[in-house]
Amino acid sequence: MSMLAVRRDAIAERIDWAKANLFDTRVNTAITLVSLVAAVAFLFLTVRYFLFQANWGLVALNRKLFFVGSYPADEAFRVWIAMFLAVTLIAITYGIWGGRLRPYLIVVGAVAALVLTLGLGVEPRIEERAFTEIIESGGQQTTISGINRVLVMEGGWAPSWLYALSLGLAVPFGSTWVLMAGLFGTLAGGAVIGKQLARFRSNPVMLQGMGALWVLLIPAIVLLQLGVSTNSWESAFLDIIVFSVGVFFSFFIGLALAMGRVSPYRAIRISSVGYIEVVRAAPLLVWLLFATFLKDELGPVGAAFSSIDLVYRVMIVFAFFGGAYIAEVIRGGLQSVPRGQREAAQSIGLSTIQMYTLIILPQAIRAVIPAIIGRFIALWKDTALLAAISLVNTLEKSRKVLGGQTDIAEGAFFEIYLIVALIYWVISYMLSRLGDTAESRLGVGRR
Amino acid sequence: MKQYVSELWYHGSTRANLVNVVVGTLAVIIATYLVYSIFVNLFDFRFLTGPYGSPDRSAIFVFLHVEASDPRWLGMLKGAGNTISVVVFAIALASLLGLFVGVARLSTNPILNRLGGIYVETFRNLPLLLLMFFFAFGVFRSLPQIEARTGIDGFFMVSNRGIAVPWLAGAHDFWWLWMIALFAGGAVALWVRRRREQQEDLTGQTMHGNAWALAIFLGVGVVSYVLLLFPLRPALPEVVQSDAGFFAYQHGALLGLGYISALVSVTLYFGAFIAEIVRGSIQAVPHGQVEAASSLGFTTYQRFTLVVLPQALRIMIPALNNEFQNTNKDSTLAHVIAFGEIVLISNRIVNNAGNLLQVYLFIFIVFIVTNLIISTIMNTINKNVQLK
Repeated sequence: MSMLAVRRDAIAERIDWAKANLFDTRVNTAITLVSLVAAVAFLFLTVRYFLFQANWGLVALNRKLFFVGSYPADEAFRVWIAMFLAVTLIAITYGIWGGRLRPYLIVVGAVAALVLTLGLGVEPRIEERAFTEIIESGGQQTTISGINRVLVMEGGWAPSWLYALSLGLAVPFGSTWVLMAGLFGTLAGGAVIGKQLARFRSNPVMLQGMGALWVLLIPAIVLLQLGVSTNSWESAFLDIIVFSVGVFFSFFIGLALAMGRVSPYRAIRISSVGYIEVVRAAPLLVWLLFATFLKDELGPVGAAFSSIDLVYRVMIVFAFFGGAYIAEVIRGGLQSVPRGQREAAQSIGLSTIQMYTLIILPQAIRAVIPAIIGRFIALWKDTALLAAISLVNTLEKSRKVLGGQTDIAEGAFFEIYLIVALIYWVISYMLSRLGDTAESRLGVGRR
Repeated sequence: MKQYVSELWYHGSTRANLVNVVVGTLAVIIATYLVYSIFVNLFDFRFLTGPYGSPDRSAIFVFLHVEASDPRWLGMLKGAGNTISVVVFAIALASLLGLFVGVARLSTNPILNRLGGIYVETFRNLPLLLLMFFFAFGVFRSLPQIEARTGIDGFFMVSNRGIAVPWLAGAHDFWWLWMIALFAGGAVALWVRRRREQQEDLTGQTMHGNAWALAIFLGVGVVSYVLLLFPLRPALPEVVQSDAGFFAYQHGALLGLGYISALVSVTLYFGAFIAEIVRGSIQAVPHGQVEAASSLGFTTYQRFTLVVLPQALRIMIPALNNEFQNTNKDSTLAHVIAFGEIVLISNRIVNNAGNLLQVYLFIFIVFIVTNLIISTIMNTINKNVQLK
């Protein structure tokens, strides 16, 4: 068969496919045409916006604010160490349990090349330019002079939309080219090392070791930050810290409550159910506001609580609120473990603690890992609520930037909100992919 | 001694009693402490009769506007009404959107399918508050001033104050009597329909239950409308200029900046979740059902409305119940964009008068009651769609 014939066959195949899927009935043809118009319009508007309309200077100028807010520059090493710890662990875990290495390395390399070379050339700055204007009204001439603030972004090699792409990863602290390179190096190297360790992936020591490292990661990251006053915990940094602490404690609180709900002792059962139902009855925002406003209304207990730093109070609320929801998820898992497992464990003489830690909980939690990750996603999105209680998280920062630089921010709200949305969306989306992967790997519902 | 203790500990009922007594006492102490703090220590609800202080006119209906002279308890009730005015419309719109997108995501048409996927993945992974900020502080604030409004003047006006649309206005002080008449008519209509359907089941004769119910409802509505001297009449919005030269909307309903931002965001956000529920439920209907319907010669539309959707509803409704309760709770976020719902009103009262515990207890009760109402409605629907 000649090349031409093969090609013609391929085209015919495509046409057949389109006939079968896009134009098989009149209704479907109409749907295809309408949604095609919608899709093309959406694509056209997006591309036109990104390439020609958007003004990314404001985002570039404030990128540090979006990531670490007013975190003191000479304490920056704390953030860097935390980032290195997290990145190392993420990379090694990906190497051991993740998918194929090559596409991962290509993506990391491409992003590294983009960020590192973009970081070299350009630094946006505000220039003050004096202007004089002569206005004629009613035969009178008035001279107005003043200072215009103009955003200048020059010196880079790439068009500004390319900078926009890198902003999500942009260097948060001044001259940190080497550190940034090291971070990407760790991302690549860790995965390669992890791949070497992959043959031990079912080894219990390996599993427990990596589990322990992950559990220790969050306290380590948070303890590292204790040298800096919580007043300067801001923006994405604040969101991530509150989220991490919330995840860590809400899991254990949820576990305890779930065990309490199925406890043989009625008093424990009733108090657990009562706690869970009361906490879930009101929205998180109401609890956060309550924790903010509480002074001495609840007697000495309330007074002691209100004397805690606001950020820590918020963390406590996140942990206890998230715990109530996670308890319900874990309870579902506990109920899914067949009764025979419990009976078998008892008949071979395991104590209650052994029965739970060795037989029931591993099966119960395994069954609900995707649902637990779903709760963590909700918790991550809930960190946006900190904006409602006078803490400056990413969302509140965006409002401050828009409000504080009105002269150069004019009309740039879309760019600002797009970047903030990207910060929330990326972590949330990655978590949801993790949940999907866990679901398919663990074979939940298929065994 | 040691042996005695150990015997006591391993004696089933003794240990259970011990644990129950200790934990139960602790729980009772904590609960008593809380209740004591709320009711005994601060048993003071006099602040509720004081004036609210500052007017809040962000509600869409005039009767939900909180005036400065309103007592605080009325302010809180109006705040609860504002919450409900968002939640009811948001649930309706989000369900429609979710149903549409959920079905679109199951379409064999790849373009429609992908568009649905983009919508769901975008809005499911963004915080609701971000959407509210985006609409309130971004999109709607960049609309034109009221002097330079767009839309159709006198009918549908858009400015950065909000969107003014036609609505009904009470012609006299007793217009609400008509609402009661409508409710009564509806109840009677439902009762008659049920009777007629029962008779139809017994005798096999066609009793036209639906037609009777409709006729009764419309009849009661029209007759009472005339008898009550046309209680509600359409009111077109207009823009008036005050003596000081300020412009304002008057008459009609004003979908204020806060309200419309909240409504749009909540609808888009929960529409994505509901779409996933709809998709999952439809996928859970066994494929044999679809094939059976096709082989009986049903059209695509009949297959969906008569075979797939009724079965999918059975799976859908418990999940939707949960999601609607979340909608109800998350509508509180609208207070951050200055919509006068219950939390905003309550916070102002806390700022002016204190009494944190009493006010927050009220919020708590409002949410328990509204969630209970949602849950009851959904459970009733659930009972009706389950296999009998």
